[in-house]
Amino acid sequence: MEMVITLLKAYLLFTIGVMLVYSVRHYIFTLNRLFGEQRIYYQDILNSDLKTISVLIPMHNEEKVAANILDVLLLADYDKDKMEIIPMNDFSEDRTREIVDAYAQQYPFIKPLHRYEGERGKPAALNDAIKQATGEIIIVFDADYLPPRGILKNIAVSFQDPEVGAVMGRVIPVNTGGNILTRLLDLERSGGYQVDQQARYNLRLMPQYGGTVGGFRRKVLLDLGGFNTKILAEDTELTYRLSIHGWKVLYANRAECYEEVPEKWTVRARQIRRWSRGHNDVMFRYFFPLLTSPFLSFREKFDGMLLLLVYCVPVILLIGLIDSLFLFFWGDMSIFAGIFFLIFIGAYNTFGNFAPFYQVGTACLLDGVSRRILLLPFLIFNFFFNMWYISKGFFDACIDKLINRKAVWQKTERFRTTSNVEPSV
Amino acid sequence: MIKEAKSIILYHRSHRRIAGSLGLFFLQYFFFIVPLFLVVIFFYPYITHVACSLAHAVLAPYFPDATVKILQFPYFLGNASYIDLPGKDPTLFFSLLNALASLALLIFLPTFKKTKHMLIFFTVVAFINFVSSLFFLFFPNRFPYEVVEFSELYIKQQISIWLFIPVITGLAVLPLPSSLASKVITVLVIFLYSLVFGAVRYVVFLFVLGKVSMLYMAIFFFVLGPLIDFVYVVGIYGVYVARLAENMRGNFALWKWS
Repeated sequence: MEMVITLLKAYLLFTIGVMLVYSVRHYIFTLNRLFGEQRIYYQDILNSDLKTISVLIPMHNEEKVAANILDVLLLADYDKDKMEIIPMNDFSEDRTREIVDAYAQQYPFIKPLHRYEGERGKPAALNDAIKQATGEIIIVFDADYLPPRGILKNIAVSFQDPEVGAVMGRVIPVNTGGNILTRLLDLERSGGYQVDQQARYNLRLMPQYGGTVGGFRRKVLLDLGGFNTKILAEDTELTYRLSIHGWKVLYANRAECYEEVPEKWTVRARQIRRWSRGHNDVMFRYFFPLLTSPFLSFREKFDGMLLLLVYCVPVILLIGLIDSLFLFFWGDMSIFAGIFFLIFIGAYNTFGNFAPFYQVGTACLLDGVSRRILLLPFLIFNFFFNMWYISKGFFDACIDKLINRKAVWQKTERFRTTSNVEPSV
Repeated sequence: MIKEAKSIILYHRSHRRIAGSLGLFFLQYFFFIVPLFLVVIFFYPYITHVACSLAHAVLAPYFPDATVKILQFPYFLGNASYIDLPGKDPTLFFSLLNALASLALLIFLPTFKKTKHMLIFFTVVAFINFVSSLFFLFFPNRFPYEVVEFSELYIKQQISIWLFIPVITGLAVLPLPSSLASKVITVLVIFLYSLVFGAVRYVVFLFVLGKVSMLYMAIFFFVLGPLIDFVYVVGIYGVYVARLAENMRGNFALWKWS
């Protein structure tokens, strides 16, 4: 029993160590974003001859939002001779097909892909669409997004740099005022993009391509074998696949795009569980290839490793909580005495939402929002919520790995009700 | 007029930062936070004694048949004070009642779909209380702690919190673009709040353990301990940053682009 107790105590110390590493990492990001020289994106070379682009929009039962995104993309300031829009209707059973076809009849550069055969899911649909696409650059928006007029240029321009393999833009919730969940998600997004992604870009670490509001080179992806349809987090997988093959992944903070965040906790729970499952699957696959890549610097590898492990942290904490409960009833409270337990708990509360409170506060300050910051203490509830569902996703990924089970893509429910859902054409 | 209007056309927020310096931040940290940290290091024997005297004054009338004592234990640079009083062991019926109530919460809380984030938090609380109830139900004589041990640990934790709060709030608040006075005042407000809160919570915990039941020790330890301290730390920080963000809207000199 002595041995078991020692192991349990050692695990607790390990947890504290992990939390400290992440806390320091996020504090460096925060200071960098506040004081550091910001690495400017490529917007100053807008006069260059831009590449041809294919805008892909994955759609599965998107009748509530399909017309919205097509309407705003029609307003884009990109040369229409150099762009095509491919709405990817993936097994929709609602009016998505009808809406998309109405636009296609009017605009020849809208070339829908209707899929009612073969493998389902976003990665499989993307693979089919990429084969059909003719653009040098693929830009992806989820169907609930509302891309602003200049964003296509903003994303495409960075591919003038021959080293760039993928670019990620910034995601901002459009329905922030919906309820407490949307407001808290807005805080989380703010910390994640305004500070985290931009600091990683500044410090030449590893910004993450997020699968939407972003683009990548079509030929590169085809050369690398397309998307792996067994992976739920095809975006994270692409980030690592490109990086370990020597391509740069950039973050474009200026390329802001509005999205619809979940308005129900049940929807959010499914979403974050799916992200965790997909992300951890990528972690299992890319942990060692990342460390052995000859194209990455030590700090890129280190940051890439921490990014890969980010969906393991809530699991580590959950096990730590159970561990400490056991030690408590066993009568071994001494391990908690002093600073150790405090740091453990502090990390709980500060790191629990992927971003510590000082990172979220700094992001809101830089964004110029004020009243929403008052909700910061409510993130304590989010933390337990995230810990639970991310842990479930982690165990899903473990089972997938153990029994070679294939994950099934689940669509996120849409909430749009106010604006035009009918085609404007 | 036009010239003035043009002078306040700012670049996009995406690449803005604040007009401060990292060196100044470290300097401020060294001169204002390190001394506060040292105050706690050198004065915690006195601080814990004051907290215990208050606790003694409040609790003693409620325990007329027993002695509420102020004890001391050696801790780092000096002796820290803590309170000893008799705890109340739960009866089997009380433990059973708690176990059933916690179980009912564990069954019903997950069925609610709204405010799920809060429900998970309360599910964790119910789970800890359930485990504690079962322990007292099946091993009532094996609970490894008396109030005196909990009390000692609480004081140790509280000293750590008082040390930790200047460190973390200094790191969070001092880099922000505001007057040094307002930043130092914010750190001091959070610190003073933690002093008062820590003392009041100590009294409440000891009262419940002595008068209601020892069964709740686990909840006090896991849920209402340092976890709650971070709520007010983050809360006061949030109020400060919200006000700062409001003030910065018209103050263009605070921003830099590079």
